[in-house]
Amino acid sequence: MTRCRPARHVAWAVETKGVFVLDRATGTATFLSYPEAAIWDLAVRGETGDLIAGELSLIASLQPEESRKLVAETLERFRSEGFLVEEESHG
Amino acid sequence: MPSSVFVVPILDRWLLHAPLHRVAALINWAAARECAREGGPTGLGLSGQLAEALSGEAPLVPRPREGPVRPQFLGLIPTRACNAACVYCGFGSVRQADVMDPKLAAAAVDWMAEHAVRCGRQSLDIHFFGGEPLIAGDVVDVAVHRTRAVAAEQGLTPHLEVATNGVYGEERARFVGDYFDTVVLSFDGFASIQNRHRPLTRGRASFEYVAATARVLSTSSTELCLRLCVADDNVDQLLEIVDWFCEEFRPAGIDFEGLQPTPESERAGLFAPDPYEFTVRFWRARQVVLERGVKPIYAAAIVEEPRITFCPVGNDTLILHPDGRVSACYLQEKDWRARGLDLYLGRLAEGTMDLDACAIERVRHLVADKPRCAECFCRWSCAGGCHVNHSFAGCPRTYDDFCLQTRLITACTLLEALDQGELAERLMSDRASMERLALWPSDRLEHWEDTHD
Repeated sequence: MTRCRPARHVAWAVETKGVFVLDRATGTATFLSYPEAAIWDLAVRGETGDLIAGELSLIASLQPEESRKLVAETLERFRSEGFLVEEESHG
Repeated sequence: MPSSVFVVPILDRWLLHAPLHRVAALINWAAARECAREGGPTGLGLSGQLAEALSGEAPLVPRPREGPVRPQFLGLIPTRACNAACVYCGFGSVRQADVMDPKLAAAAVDWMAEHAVRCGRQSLDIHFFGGEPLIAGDVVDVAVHRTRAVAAEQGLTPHLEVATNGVYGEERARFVGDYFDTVVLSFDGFASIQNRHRPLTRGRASFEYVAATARVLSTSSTELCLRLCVADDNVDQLLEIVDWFCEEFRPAGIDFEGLQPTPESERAGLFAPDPYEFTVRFWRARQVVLERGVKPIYAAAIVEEPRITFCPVGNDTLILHPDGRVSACYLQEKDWRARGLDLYLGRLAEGTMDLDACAIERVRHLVADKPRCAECFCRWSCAGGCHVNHSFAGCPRTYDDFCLQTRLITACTLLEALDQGELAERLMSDRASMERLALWPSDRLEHWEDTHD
């Protein structure tokens, strides 16, 4: 899986029960509760989808396959909503 | 008269302290003599208020815990590995060491959450120690998010705390600032001091990393506490250091710790500060810190609530080691063993916490027996300091440097609470009076006639 980074126009704040994400360009705001909040944190720190899935299976007590699927779907949703962009490959 | 009433000399006056009654008073020689002769203020008609406050049995005698285990918090040691090579390190940190399996960390958090719910607690308290815990980044990631996820699910408030050296990049520092409620960052002062006390491996400088981390944390929501180790080479700069800390990093607190000498620190030419100089410099630095709205901490002189233990030991705290063993203390096993102590409490394996009830009882009671503290007015506030390094069974009965500075700082703290800050200042400027107080042979009121000159 690839790495992502937050879109330039996105700001976020960590709160007790999750992460509040704001798209400053559109004014769209969303609250991510767990386990999506953990995916967000690991993604914006540039972790790969594989690593996120590995950690998420422990964070959310998911089977590995279930975790991979959730991470892939969630990252895709973050990208389609414009919160994350795919990092250019330098390899 | 309860035997927990103490009297110590403050210049030409006497400080009466009854910590279990939460009473302190400044009295003169005649009143002290009458108290001692007549069995205390209750027999005197001295002050109605004082007599009333001290009448009867002490209502607040701290005792070893009883009943089911109720951990104050769960401590995790993700690894003993560390990327720093502090010259006085007492944590046995090495560059390479075992790392906790993240599954173990997750299981520990689950156990603590279930326990918190069962006990009706409101919060889920997880603390990280090392080595340098952030070296094991994946363990910390899993444990932090598992804590927050489980807390949200169970209606608990997560409280995450970490003791760290701050030697990592900006991104990790931002994570720490965003996700930890309290960060205790070890930072000993200006570049020359920090790099001498806390070099990285191969003697490289740590200052720029730590200062950069402190700056990131200072702009985050975390409660930043700077832990400042005071040695003979930075004690005379305390005022300037804390002034700079407050200005540059806006911490919530500054924790002052006198250097605990080790063979390593002595080989490096670093020594504990003179206890009287430490006290005077600390007291001045404390005023500066208070004026800046920052909390000064000297952990052995917390007088608000009587206590039986200085640290997590005896409070049922569970510290999980990388291999799954659970102990009462985050120091190394070889250090406890050297003092004849066994602080292991059990083991966490395959999701099951197996605690040894006898071990828990043994540790609960070990904190109650401190012969060195028997005559000291600080016995219910300092509570003997570290059980492994300071008040272990068989330790000398005489006061050491830690005792001397703690006695002085505690007295000044009590004086300030009595609105006698000026007297505390006068005491600090009179070395002979400081020595008289610090070395007073027995503070117990019933020994007053035998001890005073």
